[in-house]
Amino acid sequence: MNRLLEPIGVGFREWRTVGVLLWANWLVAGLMVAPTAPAVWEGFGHAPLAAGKPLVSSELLMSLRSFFISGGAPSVGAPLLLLVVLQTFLVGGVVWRTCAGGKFRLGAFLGQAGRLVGRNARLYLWLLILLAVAMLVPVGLAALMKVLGLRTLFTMPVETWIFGSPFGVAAVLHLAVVAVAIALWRLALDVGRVLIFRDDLRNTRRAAWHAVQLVVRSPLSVVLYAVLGAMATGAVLLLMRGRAMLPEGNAGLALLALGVGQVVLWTRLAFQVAGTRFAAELVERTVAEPRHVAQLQLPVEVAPPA
Amino acid sequence: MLAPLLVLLVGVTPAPPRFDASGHSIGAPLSDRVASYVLDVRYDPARRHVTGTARLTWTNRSDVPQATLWFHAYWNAFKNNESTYAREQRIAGGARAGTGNRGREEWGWTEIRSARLPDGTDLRSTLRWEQPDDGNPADQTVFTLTLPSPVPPRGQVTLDLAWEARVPKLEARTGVHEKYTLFGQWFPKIGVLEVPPQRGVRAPTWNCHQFHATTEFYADFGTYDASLTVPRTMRVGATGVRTGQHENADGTITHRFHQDDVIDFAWVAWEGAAETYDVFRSDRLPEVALTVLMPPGETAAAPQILEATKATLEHGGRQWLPYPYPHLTLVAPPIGANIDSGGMEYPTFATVYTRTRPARPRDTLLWEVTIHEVSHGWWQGMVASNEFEEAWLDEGFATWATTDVMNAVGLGWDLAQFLPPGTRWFLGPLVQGQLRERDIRPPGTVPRFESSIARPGWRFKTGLETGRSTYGRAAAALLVLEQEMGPEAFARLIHTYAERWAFRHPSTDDFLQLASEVSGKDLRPLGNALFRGTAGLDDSIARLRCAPPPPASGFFDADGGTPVLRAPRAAEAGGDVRCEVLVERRGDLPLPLDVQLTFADGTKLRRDVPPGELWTRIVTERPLPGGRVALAEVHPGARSAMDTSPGNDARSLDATPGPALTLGGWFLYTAQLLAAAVGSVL
Repeated sequence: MNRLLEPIGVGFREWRTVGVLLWANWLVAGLMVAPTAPAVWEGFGHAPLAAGKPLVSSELLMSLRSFFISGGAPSVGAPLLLLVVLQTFLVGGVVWRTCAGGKFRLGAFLGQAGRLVGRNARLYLWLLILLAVAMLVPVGLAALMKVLGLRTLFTMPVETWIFGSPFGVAAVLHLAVVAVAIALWRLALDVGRVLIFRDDLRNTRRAAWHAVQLVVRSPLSVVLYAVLGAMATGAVLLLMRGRAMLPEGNAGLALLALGVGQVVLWTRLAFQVAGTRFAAELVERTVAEPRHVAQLQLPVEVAPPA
Repeated sequence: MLAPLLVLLVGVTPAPPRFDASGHSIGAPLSDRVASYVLDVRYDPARRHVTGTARLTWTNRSDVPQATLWFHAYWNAFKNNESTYAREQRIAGGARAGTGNRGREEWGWTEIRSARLPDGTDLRSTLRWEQPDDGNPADQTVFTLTLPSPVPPRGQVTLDLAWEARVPKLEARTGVHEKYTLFGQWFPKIGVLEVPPQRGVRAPTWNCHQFHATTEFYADFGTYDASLTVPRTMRVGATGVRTGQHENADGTITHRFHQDDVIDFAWVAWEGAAETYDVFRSDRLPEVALTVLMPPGETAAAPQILEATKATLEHGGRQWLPYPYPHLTLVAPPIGANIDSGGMEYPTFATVYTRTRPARPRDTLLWEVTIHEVSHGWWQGMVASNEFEEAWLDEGFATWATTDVMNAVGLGWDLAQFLPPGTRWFLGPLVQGQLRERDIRPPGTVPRFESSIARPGWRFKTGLETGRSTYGRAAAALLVLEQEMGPEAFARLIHTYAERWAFRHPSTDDFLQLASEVSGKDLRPLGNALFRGTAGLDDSIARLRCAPPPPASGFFDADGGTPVLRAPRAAEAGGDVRCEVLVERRGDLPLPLDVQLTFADGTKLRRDVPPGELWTRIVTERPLPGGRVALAEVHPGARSAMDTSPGNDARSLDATPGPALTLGGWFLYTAQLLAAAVGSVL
């Protein structure tokens, strides 16, 4: 249990790190919705008929298309591309925080992020091969289930989602296999990032291979990592539900909802940091510490010469 | 003897039945019974094979002898991928599944084996395939038979037809899905000989269209007596009343059904189906026995299906016309067959939906489809419009009727209930709401639609446009008529329409004529604009702004008439305020447009915008502080049902940050969640 609680604790204690990630999230999300702002103000800024009514409702959702046509549609593609760049950049800082600890300094965070961004990007591309291989397991299982007349959540007809009960035992078990396969890949990605930082590896292909070996030899860690992911999903869904239950009606309630929404996002991002910390702990337990690791624990407050 | 006992037991006095327990009418026939059938059918599910005989008795209602009779053979739409149905599916799409690539066993067809007069005269050699709509030679959904001597005016002819058919893969509300077979439009059915002045024809004319991708059906009333032989393991539900069944030596069972005064006969054969029974009883309305067929082990929805059916029979019986038939069968298809076969109406027989775990206490999806299909029992089942040419007269009416019943029982749309079980608890609040059916706007974002409502189903631009025009937009158009007439007059119109046109074939003109008659004003111009035009409507307050009037400057005539220069001066505190309200109308629907301005001191000012004007600017100048226009509205208190954007119907001078922040904040939050989700795989 401690292998789960300790990373979660780190995730929530690293509030400055989470804050940086949340800032990036705000930037991307803000760019997405910015084109809609004039339409929202034009349509609802002087709309007494809308005041006090539940706007986030079936009624609104059913007419979103016409709303976007008459106003500005959100931009999705370009901001998500920016997200890919930002996330690839920031993970270096996150790894530094979860491995080295110490005092948070934004400059050092960004410095580490910049130092590692190229290697982390290459590592990601190498590990896409692992993702493809790992997904062969659930795909093969789905094919076997089809022969046996069983359906997965991904091969289920649309009708079952609307009229039936999609979450049968077989479908849930298959989903669990999918989750473990993704956990294996995601853990390898985190471990690889930790290894690159910790051992200052330049050869990302070797780092990827080493990470895969390490993760495959520790199946319990994969399961625990999957559990960590499930805990994150559960916590986020629970908070999302709480946020959705807030009443609507005036500006104060709208701001409250936005605030609670940030708690949802904060939790999600804290679990992201926790995942990296979990990988760091796995590496610490299983790999001998390199000689130069102390040099990598930057920045270090160096005492002035006596 | 039974009635008083019933009063004591359940406290209701049912109306006298119009049919006896075997489906035969009591007293005078309710319809003219132009086409009556005795059907004898055997179904072999292992071979997907049907053999049948039909004795058809047809009456020539016209003054002209008829030698050539027109028939439908609908299942030939599934014979190959060159049928008109299949071609249209490829071109325009539709709500139904495409014929696409089928396996050898999945095509369907009907083959007429023999056609004879009772004296043995063979008519099979006179059979000709006809393509009256598109001339497609590959289409075999309509055929004619020519008699050796014509049927005299008001005379009758009896034909003995024998046919074989392969049951298609389930599609367009007919066919096989695993152990479930729905038989809709499945036997050779005679077309409708329209006789003046019926639906505006000037001479007797056969109305017998091919099977199109986006059309339904049209038939004369008659008596149906059907013997259906199936394997004993299959349950059977059908139009009408079950009048008997007997087991045969070959392991089959023959079910017999009968119903007078209906326009069609449909049935289902289903191995292992579960059945639930109930009876609708209400004061001064005829009793209706109810049967629900459901997938085995999936019966949780049955109570709600029955409850929704009873609500419709109650409301429709009181507001439209008492439902006269003694039995109603509802089929909730198995999971996997709902989209292709659920939600279809036949006389005294309808398919609805199954939900493994329905939302409680009332599942919108189940209630809506059940109310809609049961209300078709009036709108086309009894008031038998031509679904080929004027689909809005049944689908628009059924959609409006669904609104009517849902409002009566206080049921709104809740999209959360569309979510699969297991996800509703946390995803539900994201889409919560109780949107009333009446609040649903006509589809479309522009104030001009692509097609008129009243046009043949195959002449819409796309299948989607067919559905949007004949369902939601037609229902909204009926609501516009209601707004024009007032609710009481409109209720009288609907009741009179049902009463006058039950067991007959009305047209759009007949309905508009009656609307004018009931309302006492000529509603045909508006009706034609609504149903035969493409005009839409979006009335809005485009601008509202208030400012002090500019100080006078320039030359003004003095008392003696001499121009005197007046120097500009700063606006006086506590002076007048000038407000400008710009009212815009997009769309040409000829509806009145009234505007109401509410001033800060509470006084109101109403203005009518002249007909034909696409915009109007209203300028007021009143003393401060009460002279500001605080609120400007079009259609105050009752927005037009055809208004595509009711959100812009009102504008306040003061900002309303609440709605803007709520919506903007929700957009931002949703975008954040999306970014976080994508970020988690990076």
